[in-house]
Amino acid sequence: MPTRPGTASVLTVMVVVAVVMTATVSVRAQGTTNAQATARVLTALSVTASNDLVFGNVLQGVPKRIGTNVDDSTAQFSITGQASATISMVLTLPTYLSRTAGGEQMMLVFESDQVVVDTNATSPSTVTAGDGWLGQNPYSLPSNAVVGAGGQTNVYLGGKVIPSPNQIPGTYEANIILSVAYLGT
Amino acid sequence: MIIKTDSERARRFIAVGVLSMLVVLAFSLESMAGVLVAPTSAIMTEGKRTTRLTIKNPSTDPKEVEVRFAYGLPESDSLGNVDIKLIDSAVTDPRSCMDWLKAFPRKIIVPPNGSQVIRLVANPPEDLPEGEYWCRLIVRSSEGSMSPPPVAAADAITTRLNMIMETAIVAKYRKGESVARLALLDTTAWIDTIAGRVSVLLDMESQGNVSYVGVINGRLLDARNREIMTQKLDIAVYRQLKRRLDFPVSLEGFEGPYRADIRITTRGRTDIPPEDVIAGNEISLTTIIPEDRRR
Repeated sequence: MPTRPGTASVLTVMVVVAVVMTATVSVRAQGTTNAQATARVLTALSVTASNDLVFGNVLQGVPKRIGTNVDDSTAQFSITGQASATISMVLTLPTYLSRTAGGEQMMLVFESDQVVVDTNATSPSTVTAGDGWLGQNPYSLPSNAVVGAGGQTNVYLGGKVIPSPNQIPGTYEANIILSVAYLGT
Repeated sequence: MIIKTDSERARRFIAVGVLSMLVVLAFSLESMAGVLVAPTSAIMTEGKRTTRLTIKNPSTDPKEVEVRFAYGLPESDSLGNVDIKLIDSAVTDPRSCMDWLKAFPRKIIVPPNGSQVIRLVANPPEDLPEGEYWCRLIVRSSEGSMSPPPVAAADAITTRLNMIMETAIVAKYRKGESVARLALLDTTAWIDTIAGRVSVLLDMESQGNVSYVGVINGRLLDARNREIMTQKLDIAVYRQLKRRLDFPVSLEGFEGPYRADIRITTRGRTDIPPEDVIAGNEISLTTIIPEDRRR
């Protein structure tokens, strides 16, 4: 009888699948009271920040700009929800950062083409025009934007800090807010 | 005795492998999500002045969550582009309920893989006229800064941007008998050759005493009755709303004149509990897409 060299590997993979499926069911069962509640949770709209806007060290008097295509520096929000549902997105952006210890300010600018909306949820460096909307105004995001067919849409945001020649050294802080709502409710 | 060929074994191995990858992907997507709020709308009535929302934190970190009320309805421009502008104060719309809805608790920390119930209570004025009243519950959560400022000399300038996420859930209070009725004021259709799509613009008005929440179902057909594409769009018409149904499709290989069969109905919403949907009238129409109105 011929031996089956792949059988052990197949069994191993199936065991892994069974373990992961059990874990998934367990996680989904937590915090919900019945099956109907679980189903509703899965269609809920959710926003996650997967990366913030990273300027690194900034020099006095030297503006520093981060584009929308830098994977580890561009700000990234991920919106998950019902696939293809239309959504409203609004960014609330600061015009300056404040020094954590002291309150001094540093200018922060968001140019009119510093947002990309990526309905295929790729990445800042690989997104193309076919993935959604490139070069959008952060103060007027596309109307009728949608949750991608895969249930996720990403928003990539770039920006520019403009330190003055006598900017006081320290850590400067500000908030970036993304508000999302289903348009059909 | 079962004899399997190498190719059968390979196919089976690949199938099991793909399945396991999908399961792992689904698991990891849920794990990295922000807070989830369910259900997607909160409905209260004269007889049921409280309701509950569940906030779930599927991540492995605790999440600080804050809730508040704001006002905002879907509003459209002349091209059917729709937005919701949220207003926190100085709301003059008599249909706003944001001043008399309360949420408990308003600030919470949801533990990793945990959930927290938020209770909403309506305290409407006694002389409130019959009808439906609206606002949005804003659920705000913060990731803080994921990238700590780089360690640098004391004379360096560094930045820290806190990423804050807000999800707006519609909250409604209904008093008296609820009637959902929609009127179609106007329909315009065209072929957008530059964008590569066929568009149908529907100008709608809610004429009942509650918002008309439903679905637009569209079918694009050619002269030989061949279906080119179907589209579906969830809608909520509070007063007047223009919505554009786009069919992003190439018409190559199909014969004009083209037409769109449109059906607007309150049936078919899968994101809202059936008991919260007010059944309303249905509108069906067929519109011919004028080929001389190419844009």
